[in-house]
Amino acid sequence: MSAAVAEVLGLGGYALALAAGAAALCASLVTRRRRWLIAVALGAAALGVAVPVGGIPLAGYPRGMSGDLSITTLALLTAALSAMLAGRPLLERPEWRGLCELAAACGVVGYPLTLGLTVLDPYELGYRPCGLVLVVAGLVVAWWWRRRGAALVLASGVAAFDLRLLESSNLWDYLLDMPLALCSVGIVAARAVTWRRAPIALRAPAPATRRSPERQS
Amino acid sequence: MLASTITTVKARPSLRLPGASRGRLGYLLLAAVLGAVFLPALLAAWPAEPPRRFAAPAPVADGGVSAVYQERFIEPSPAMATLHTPALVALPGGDLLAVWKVGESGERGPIALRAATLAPGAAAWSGSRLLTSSHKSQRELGRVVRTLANPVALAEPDGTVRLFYVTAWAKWSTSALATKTSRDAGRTWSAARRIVAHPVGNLATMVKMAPVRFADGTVGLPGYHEFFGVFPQLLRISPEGALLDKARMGAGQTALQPSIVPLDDRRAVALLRNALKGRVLLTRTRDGGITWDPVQPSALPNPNAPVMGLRLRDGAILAVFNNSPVSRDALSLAVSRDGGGRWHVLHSFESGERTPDGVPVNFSYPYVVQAGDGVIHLVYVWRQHRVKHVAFNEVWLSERAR
Repeated sequence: MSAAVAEVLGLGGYALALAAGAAALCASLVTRRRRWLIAVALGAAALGVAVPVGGIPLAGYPRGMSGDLSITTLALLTAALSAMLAGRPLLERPEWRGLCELAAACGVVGYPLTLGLTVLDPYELGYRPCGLVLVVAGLVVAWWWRRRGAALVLASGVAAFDLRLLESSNLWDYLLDMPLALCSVGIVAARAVTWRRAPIALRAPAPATRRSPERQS
Repeated sequence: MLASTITTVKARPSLRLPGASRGRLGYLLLAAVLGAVFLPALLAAWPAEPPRRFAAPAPVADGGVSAVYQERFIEPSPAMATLHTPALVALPGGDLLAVWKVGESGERGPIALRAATLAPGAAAWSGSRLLTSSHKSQRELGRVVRTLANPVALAEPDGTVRLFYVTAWAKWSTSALATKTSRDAGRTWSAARRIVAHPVGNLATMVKMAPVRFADGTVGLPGYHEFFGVFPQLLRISPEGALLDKARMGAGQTALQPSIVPLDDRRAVALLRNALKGRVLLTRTRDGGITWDPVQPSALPNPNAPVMGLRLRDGAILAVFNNSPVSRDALSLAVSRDGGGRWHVLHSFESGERTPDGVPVNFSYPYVVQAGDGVIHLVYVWRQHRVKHVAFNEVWLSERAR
């Protein structure tokens, strides 16, 4: 795939992250928020992509420091923005939780190995990824009925790898990135801490606040 | 309350199939996803790779019947900035192309890569020209770049020159690889392109020594990782410049900057810089670089400095190295005729010079290639501000061995 597509996805990913971050920040400050949030998100995205600093877009700085974002992260950012700006959650809570737990587990186990903890390097499996594709396919099948959104997010990562939409030729980079792994570890750890501190009566899984139409019928 | 909550919920654009379609339609959709997405990925990755083989060495002439030994500097006067990591590549037309790094953090002026050429038979190098700078690489890559380092180059049979180099935005642990190509013998270069080689922010992958060729047309780029661990690795690059795979050549905290010397189509030996000082490290492969033996110390001393090897026509291995376990003030040439087991020091290019204050003078970053005419070319940084070029042939080596 052309370098232009990789460039658009690379820059667009951080513009999306900037938009989501700005929208989330403003959502907590503004009450009549929908129009405000859209304007804020668009402005932040434009700032990331269009404002040159030192001859490169502002988004080029995080891009240079932590690499391009994975397709999984792009999908999660899109889902977050959709929920904040349009009020349409593309992913339900169990789907978010499943993806976060998966990303956290892969980051905690995989990243120390890639940094040289042992002679094994799971990243090497991502270049000719027969085994990795089979594992992801198994997860997609396992999640298909109860966490279809998460399954489709994983499948979109593999589809992007088929087309080599990112700069990388390694499947891992389509499924996971460092910011996603760090955020997921933080979320999973925070959930674990709050769950331990909660009274036993409140440790049940959080009830779904929103129901899809099919469940109402 | 509950009713009002439910009525405010809008229908999802629906990743979940409505009602009864959770049955047959769900299975159909799942089959479509598996068939359209996962099957192509499996088919693309499935074909078994044929045994990997190093390419046969390019034909090399005998280098003349009488001994040749010449010394010169690439630039006539010392640079104001510190120079680093010169590299050479013999071009198909007979020219020699040298690239090196100028400047470092804290010095005035940009950090840049410069290049110069030496025409066949010419007495002096061309004037050096800017190849790229940190600012230019930052613009071309669209990412923050503060410094550059370690250029290495390779000439394709069609004349295309490929350059690989390191960019970093802070310390060397923030390094990433970039590549450029030239189709006019190094006069003009394509925009830089990033090579993604590590999942943690693409950090900490570097190159230093000469690429090797595989029989299938791919290129083996000897690299190393320098972050929590310090270990060598071999990156395989496609003719289009994509990273195909990589293999660790060692583990731990000590071995870096591998210089790979193919011995035949399957076997190779790699000489490695020792981060702990002491002795040059060595590892071997018998399967074309897919797996490597545990790293062992060799007989050559090493002061935590790069060492470079070269296979000669008769199968001997030539190594240029800092001949001291503690400092870079001596630079010597040694030859091994048993694949790296025993070494015979044949010549000292520099031998233990010191400043009037008693500080060892620095001669470092040797890089050696053999051109098509058989002449062996060595470049290294001389007293930190000049790049010295030494040319000699195998007749001269034979005379030193007597």
